[in-house]
Amino acid sequence: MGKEFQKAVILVTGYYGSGKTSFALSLAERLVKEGRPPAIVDLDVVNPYFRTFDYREQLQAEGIRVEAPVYAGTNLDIPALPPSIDGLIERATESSPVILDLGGDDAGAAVLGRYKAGLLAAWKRDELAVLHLVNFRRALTPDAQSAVEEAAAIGAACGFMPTAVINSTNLGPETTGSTLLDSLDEAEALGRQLGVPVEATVMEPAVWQGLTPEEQTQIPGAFLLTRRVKLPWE
Amino acid sequence: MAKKYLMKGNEAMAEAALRAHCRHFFGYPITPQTEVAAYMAKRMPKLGGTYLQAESEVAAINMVLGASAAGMRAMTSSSSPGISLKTEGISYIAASDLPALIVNVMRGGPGLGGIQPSQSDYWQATKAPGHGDAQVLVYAPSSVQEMVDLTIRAFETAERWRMPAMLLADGMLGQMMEPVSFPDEVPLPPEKPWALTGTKGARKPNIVNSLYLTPSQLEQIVKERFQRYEKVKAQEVLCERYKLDDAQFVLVAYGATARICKAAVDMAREKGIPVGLFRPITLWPFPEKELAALGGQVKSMLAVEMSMGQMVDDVRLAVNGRCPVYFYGRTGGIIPTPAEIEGQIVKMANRKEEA
Repeated sequence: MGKEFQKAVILVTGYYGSGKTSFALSLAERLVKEGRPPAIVDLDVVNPYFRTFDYREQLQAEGIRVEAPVYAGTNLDIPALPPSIDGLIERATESSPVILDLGGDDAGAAVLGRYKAGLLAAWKRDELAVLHLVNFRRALTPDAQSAVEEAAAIGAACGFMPTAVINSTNLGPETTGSTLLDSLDEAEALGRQLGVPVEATVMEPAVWQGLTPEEQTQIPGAFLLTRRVKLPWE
Repeated sequence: MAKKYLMKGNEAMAEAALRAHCRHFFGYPITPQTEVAAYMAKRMPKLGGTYLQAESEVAAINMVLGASAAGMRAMTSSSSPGISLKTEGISYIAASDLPALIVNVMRGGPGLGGIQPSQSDYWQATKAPGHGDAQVLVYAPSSVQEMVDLTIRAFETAERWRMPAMLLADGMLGQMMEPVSFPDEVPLPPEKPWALTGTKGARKPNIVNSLYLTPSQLEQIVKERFQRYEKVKAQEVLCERYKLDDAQFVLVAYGATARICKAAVDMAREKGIPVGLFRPITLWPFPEKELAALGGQVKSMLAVEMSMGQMVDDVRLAVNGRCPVYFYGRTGGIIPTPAEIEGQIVKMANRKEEA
């Protein structure tokens, strides 16, 4: 698995609906399997729907600690953050990492100002990964250029530019191998413009299995997703 | 075919409005529709349109009235408590015979209620979208693609009939993501000879007004408007039928609930229960004739809603005793599960005929 995933503090950022929560949950699951059980922090103070907190019981049963805004999952959508989050960031290590699942956009990233000291310390120790998710089938980030602007806005809001691009291009249930293959050039261009690698390409196992062995070799860092975020009728 | 994008319902509806040449959006943030305003704020300036966050919902709806009177395609969006604030303005728009699009991404109520999805504004949308004798067109999408298609349609029908249209969605539809495509081209809005565009000395002034000085004048105007409503009822009804051909039992549901009901219908069909789904797409005008006909063919119906039972009133009025109509609902932001509804279908199928 990529070098960025070995770090102690892992930020997951990106545009609204780029797949941050699905990726963060799968990453947490993978870290457990590697013997590095993480804590995951639901830092989405923007949108009350489809969030990490919704899966806390499942996750905790799997050995993943879940922290979230105090009133997550209630009708009081105020961004009250528990002090335990500071401790998780300050004490995170490679063997006991923390994943911060942010809300979408620059609005969602602004919350990191609250944790600047701890994050800066991690960054200085080279223990901070800023994973920037991009889905090139989202209407406002159809290409590398628009995605760079989005990444810059998020970077400006939270004070940290991406250390890696995660290509999570998908069309939900209509995702095919070509959805993914068509996005590879844009993902690479985005990485080049940001000066960081494309650390992973995220997909559901069925999409991976639909690719020929030759096509599979073209995909940088294939990362197979366990999809937990589902609609009520799925 | 047009390229598909993965979009939230709120974003898709905002993009659809832009593609339908709407260049005037007046809003005020409220969960769970805030992405509409956020999307408009990002895109509208690039298209040379007006995105304006008003000082309140009341202000926003009256800005829509003004823009519409000037002949512009204009819209506002909000969620339940915000719509309550807008209802005065909606009544004035209806009284002024102006087209406009009002979006309600419903959340739990009454009062401040909750921020999770709900369908408990059905009565408000269809019976009393404001004071006075008036109706608005009400469209109820049940997929992100329909958020697109019905947004475009709502603008067009609102202009055809010179009346406000409402897109009645819920928090689930607003927030969930699905692949969507957009039509390559949406026709430009028609000429509006009644609009306040300045006479330039070449014509008599147009007047947009909701004040009539004598009761007889007001009665006349309202009666004429209701004659127009009859034409709307005859021409604008939309509905979907799912597995109804051999059905003896029928679920009636709209919006996101209809999606859950489809899954429940499939589950019950696997158990051999002949059940189908009737989905009103327009809530006003309500598919009365279609439901009446269906009521004569089946054993019973079950209305399913995320409310304590609102649309079920209209189902019963339409069916008018031809078959029993039962109700099942969850409220307060709770979304019923397919299994829960399947249980209700089984219960309905096992019910002894009531004498």
